[in-house]
Amino acid sequence: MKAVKCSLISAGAALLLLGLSAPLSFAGGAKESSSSGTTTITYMNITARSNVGSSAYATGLYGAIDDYMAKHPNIKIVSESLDQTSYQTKIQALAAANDLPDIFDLKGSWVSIFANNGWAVDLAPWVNADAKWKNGFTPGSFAPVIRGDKIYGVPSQGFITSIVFWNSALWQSIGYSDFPKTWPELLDAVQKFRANNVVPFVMGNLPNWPAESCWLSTLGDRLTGTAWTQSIIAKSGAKFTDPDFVAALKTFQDLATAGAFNKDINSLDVDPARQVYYDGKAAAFVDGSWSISAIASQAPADVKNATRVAILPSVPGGKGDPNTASGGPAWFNAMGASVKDPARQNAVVDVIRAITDGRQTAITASLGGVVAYTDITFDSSKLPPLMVAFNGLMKNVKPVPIYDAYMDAAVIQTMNVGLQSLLIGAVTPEALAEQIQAAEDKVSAN
Amino acid sequence: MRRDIAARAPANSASRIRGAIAGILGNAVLGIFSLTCVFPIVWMFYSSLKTQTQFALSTLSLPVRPILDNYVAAIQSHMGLYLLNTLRNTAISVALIVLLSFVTGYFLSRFRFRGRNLLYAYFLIGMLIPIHALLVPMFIQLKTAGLLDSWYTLLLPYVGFGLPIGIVLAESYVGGIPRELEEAAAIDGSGFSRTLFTIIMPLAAPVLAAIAIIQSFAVWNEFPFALILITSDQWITAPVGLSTVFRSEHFTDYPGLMAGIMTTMVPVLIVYFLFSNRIMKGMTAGAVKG
Repeated sequence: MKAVKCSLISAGAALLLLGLSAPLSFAGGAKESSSSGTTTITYMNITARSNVGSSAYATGLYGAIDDYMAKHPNIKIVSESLDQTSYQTKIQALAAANDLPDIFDLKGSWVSIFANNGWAVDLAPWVNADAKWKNGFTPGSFAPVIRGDKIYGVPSQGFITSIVFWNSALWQSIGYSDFPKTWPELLDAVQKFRANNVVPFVMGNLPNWPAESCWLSTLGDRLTGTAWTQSIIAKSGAKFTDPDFVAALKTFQDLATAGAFNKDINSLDVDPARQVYYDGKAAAFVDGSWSISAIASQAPADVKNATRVAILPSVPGGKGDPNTASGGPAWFNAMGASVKDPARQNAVVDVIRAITDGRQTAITASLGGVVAYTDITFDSSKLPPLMVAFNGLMKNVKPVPIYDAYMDAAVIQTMNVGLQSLLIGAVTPEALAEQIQAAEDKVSAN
Repeated sequence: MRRDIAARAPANSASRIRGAIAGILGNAVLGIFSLTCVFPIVWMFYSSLKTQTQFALSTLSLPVRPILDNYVAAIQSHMGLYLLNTLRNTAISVALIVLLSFVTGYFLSRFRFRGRNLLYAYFLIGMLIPIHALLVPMFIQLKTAGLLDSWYTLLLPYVGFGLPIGIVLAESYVGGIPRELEEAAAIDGSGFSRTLFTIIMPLAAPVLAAIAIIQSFAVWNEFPFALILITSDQWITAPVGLSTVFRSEHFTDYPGLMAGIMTTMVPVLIVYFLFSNRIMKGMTAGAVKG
């Protein structure tokens, strides 16, 4: 028995030694050498380098990064990109473990969590000191990341999250040469499309943010007015149970009941929804400005040429300005709290500046991206026609807050999941409003 | 199965026809089932030969002019490197899991000592903990130990999480191998280690194969740990690589993604075809039927 134990122990020990010694011999190559005086800045984001060329923002972003590294040979920017869902899991784990990268993408609705836990560095001293940089952004761009006198991030790109992309040929076939300007007209068009077996609006609400971010942020504003949204954000009196917001939920549900959406709304993803539109089986879809480049590069020629852009129509009795669409930056560049050395903080801010100011946005805008930093001149000759049409439309449209860029993550989660039920008639507008308000109360109580 | 039906059928022609129809129907149903398994792979293959526009135009149609650009892009985007990382993780972790489960399972099965049940329960509990609850603690632990972001980082959690099921399977299987074999070996002068590895281990091969197969699937597809614990591009695994390379904030490059998946499937397919017989046997051995 003793011999047994001995041989087992020695086998175990050998295995352990093997396990410990092998890493030592391999690890050498992986570690950064700091002897050459190079500063390595880590940057975690949701924009993969492999999208350079196909995505305007990725091209602008990595163009700016490469340019910066070429001009500053002593700075090395190491970026790690993940898709949104994975990114969200990882950044929260890293934050909880207090090991955030130097620069990371911060979503508007996460700001409170990151600020309250001290995970992000206040960038106000640098942003306020550089007036040209600060004022180059469209007014209100910083609003989601401001808490008191602190600024927790710098806008990375601009968005309009609620644009109606409509197939003019299909709308023509039911007698509409222009997109409806009022809600009753819209409901009438829905009836006519249903009679022709065409899906009026295709929505891929599987990831559950589209109904809220692309529809309700604008539809809500039509009924409540922006002052209500501001009051919700500032927690100064407005409630989700207010009649105007309930009316917005009801209008949304009525639209769904009228048959405006596809039946598989909650099981269809965003990309496949766009395919339904490309196939000519849907007359329109409401999505963000990011879809402009998707249509330009993916849609078949006939659909591409027939596609027009519009905003959601006005709703009778609504308190909001009908010439608005939800928009603004939803993602921000933030500095991780582990950066403490002042010299290093300066270096990190300098990189943030390079990836958010004209060096990035001039390229992004010239390729058809919507930017937040607008103090630039760029070559507009290569823009896709739809982008030109969009720019024309936006001249008269005012951006209003995107719900998920401003409101707290827990509230948005309740709203997003609730909207999935609302659109299939599984919950009443009143009950959903109460659920959202309950989530809001819980957040406010903490 | 068809032969059985035919054999049992009486000699009159009406029931022979009935038997034939039943056979055809049975095969048709099975055929449809097989098709539902095979079609996604076939679809994935021919879709990977399409451009994004072609794919957008019709998701099901065959490619008009097949292109290999997606494969070129997949290989250029470090997919090969990610695949190598996954291969290495799988090979090392599965070897360790099989070896350690066998030895531990053997001891728990053959020896009764104080604390044996406690030890067994301890391993059982390992199966009950959801991985997501351990992401942050595991991250902090490995960070403190300086073991983050290296080629060996993922081996530790993979082996740790693979052991419980392996030990439980090995323990129950070894219990069914007669002790007399070991006694006979001892009489013939075989030492303990020799008996363990040259007599018992080959007898336990079916369950070890089952453990290896189950754990190969688990390690090959593992996502959360690979996502959190690895940062450098050089150690990223295939599942994480697939989800990042072909997806951006708002779009998924489906044909590219499919080319990536096809590329990462090749080694699995090769292994499967080489060992398909053994895998089939392994899947039906032990307590877990695949």
